[in-house]
Amino acid sequence: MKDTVLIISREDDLHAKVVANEIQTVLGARPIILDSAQYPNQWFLSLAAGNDVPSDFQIHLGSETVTEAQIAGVWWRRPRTHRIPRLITDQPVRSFCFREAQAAFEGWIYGLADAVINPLSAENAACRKPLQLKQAAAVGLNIPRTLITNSEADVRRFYLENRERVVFKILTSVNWQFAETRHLREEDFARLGLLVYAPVIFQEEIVDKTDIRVTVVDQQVFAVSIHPRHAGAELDWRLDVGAEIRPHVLPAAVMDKILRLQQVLGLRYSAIDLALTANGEYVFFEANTGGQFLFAEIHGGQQIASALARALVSGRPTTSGH
Amino acid sequence: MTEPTPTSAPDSSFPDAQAANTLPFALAVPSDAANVVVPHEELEDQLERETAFLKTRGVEQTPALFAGTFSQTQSTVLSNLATTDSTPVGTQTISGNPVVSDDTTADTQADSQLDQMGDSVTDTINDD
Repeated sequence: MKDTVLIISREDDLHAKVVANEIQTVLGARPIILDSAQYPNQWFLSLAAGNDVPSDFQIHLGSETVTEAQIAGVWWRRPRTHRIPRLITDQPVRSFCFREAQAAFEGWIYGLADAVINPLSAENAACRKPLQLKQAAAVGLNIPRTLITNSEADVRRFYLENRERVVFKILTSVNWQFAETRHLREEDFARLGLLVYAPVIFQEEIVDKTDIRVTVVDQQVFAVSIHPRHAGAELDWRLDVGAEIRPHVLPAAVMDKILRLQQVLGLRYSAIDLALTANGEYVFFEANTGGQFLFAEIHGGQQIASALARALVSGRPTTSGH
Repeated sequence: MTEPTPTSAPDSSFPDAQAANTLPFALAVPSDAANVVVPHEELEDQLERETAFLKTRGVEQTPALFAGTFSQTQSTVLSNLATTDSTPVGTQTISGNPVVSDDTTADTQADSQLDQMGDSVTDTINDD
């Protein structure tokens, strides 16, 4: 009986806990929060394959065993790096152990295909912003003029071409500081040579905008508008932890493009950042393939955890619209 | 005249002067984040709402601020900072005080170094 959902995250992840609660108490299924940091030295994963035997896996967690036949869905929520015991002290050997664990663990997840939110092959490509922007434009979404570069000269040219209204942001994320979207100012030009250490995304500034966060779970779309209330957070609303969150209704045409983008990227879940301009146009900024959603649920009244739980228990994309 | 080999050619596009600065551009440019100030009472109200929500979902864990897309750790740090009448959001960024990584709190240095090797399995993938 497929009644078990694996949530790959740490045990104290609140998003994971809320969805796990929904899976258990509302849907009557069994959620297991599985911490990849504890693999390979605290729980066991065995993968079986052969021409004369069905492919199968077994997870041994203490006295409990979970088999492939029990798995309804997997949420690739916040996987952590595999921890190698300190008893292994030689760095090359530690690296070997890590790579072996990663190869087995991710290989297993890849094999679960679209039972996973998100399918790992799609996730690993779709989280790349250059690809997102290209596909967003291809499905008809407006995108800002963008330059992703490590070239100082090209940034200087881009700055002038965009009438000196340019913002920049990072391609990934960091966990030791907050790197918000910022204006490019002339006083920053002296540092442009530092681009040779890491490329950056530069974009024309979209002015007079309202930020829209669209969370997509399979075919369900949840939108909120975000209204910073404190000066300094107009460019990046994440700086204002007191921002007002309101439900938002997307035009059908925009929703269709969002769903088309989701399909093209092969995603089952994403949290998409849009801007709504003063003249009513929606502009795509980025898709966060593992984006947070509880702020939209708690403060914007969106039933996202429930949708995610249902999608995980169903184990496959739903076809009903929102 | 012999063409210089790629390894011997001076590369003027990678100026030596930059070697003195160890931060890439995106992290070297000062942030204005500390200028965004949220009154303490707003944070308290928000935490109260989030606590109430979590309880309805059977989660008794100490709440963190979800507003914005701060990670849980960042939010916890922010809420811990909210001990005065107002909280400068992003203080940890400006001051350079490291936000404790989700992944390294219980690690040895060796484990922390190892964590850096995991490109595809990290705590911070799209943590926004």
